[in-house]
Amino acid sequence: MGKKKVTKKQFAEILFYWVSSDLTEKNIKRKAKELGFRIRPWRSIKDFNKLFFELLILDMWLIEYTCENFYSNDEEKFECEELFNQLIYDRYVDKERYSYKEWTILVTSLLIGYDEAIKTDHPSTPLWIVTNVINRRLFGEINKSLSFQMTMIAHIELFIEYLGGALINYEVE
Amino acid sequence: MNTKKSNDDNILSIGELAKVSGVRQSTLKYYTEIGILPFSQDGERLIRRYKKDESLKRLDEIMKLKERRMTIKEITGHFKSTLYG
Repeated sequence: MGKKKVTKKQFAEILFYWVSSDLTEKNIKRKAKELGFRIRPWRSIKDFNKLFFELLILDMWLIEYTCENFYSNDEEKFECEELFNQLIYDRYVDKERYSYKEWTILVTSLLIGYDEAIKTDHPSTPLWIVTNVINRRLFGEINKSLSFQMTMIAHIELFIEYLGGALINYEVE
Repeated sequence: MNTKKSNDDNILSIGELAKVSGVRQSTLKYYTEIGILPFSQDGERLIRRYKKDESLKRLDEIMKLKERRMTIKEITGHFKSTLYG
C-alpha cells in the first residue's frame, strides 16, 4: 500500500492528535501513579497541571526528535513544526497567561534542556540524562527512584517507536 | 566554561544570539539560510556574525508575524517586499 499524502496542516493535526491521545486525563492520572508523582487532593488541579505541562513539553520534544528524519527538507520541517506548535498554543494554552511570544520562549527554553541532555555522554543511554531533567522539573530535585527513571525511559522509547511506525504511512505534499 | 565570546558586545555568534534571544540555534540557522535574519561574515573561515540589536529586533518581528499565523514562506515574502517594495 502506498503512503497517504497529507498537507502540512493535516500532518500537524496528526501530530497534535498523537499528543492529545497521550495526554488524556485518564492517562495523566495513570502516569502519575506509575511515576510516583502525588496528585494531592487539596491541590489536585495544580499538581495535575504540573504533570500535564511536563509531559506536554516532553511529547513536543519527542515529536520533534522522532520527525527529524521524516521531513524531506528544512522548509517542510519548520513549517510543520510551526503549525504543530500553533495547534498546541491554540488548544492547550491559557491566552490570558501567556502571549504567543511568551509561550514560545518558555517552551524553547525547556526544549533546549532536553536537546542538551540527549547530547550528554552516558554509559548506558543519554535518555537517562533526559529523564533526570524531567525528574528534577517534577520533584524540584532528582528523586532517586529507579522505577521513575525506568518508567520514563520506557515511555520515551515506546513513544518514539509507535510514532515512528505510524509516520511511515504518511508523506507530506 | 570554555566559550569563545565575540570581541564586540554588539556582534554575536549564532550561539550567543541563541542565548540572548531564547531562539534555538537550529531555528536561527534556518532563518539565516532563507534570508530573513541578516548577518555578516568575517575572517578566513567566513564565520557568521549577527548585530545584536538588529537581530533581536528582526526576531521580534518574525515572532509577531508568526503570531498572526503567517507561514515561513509568507514571512520571507513579507521581508522581501519590505526590502524591495
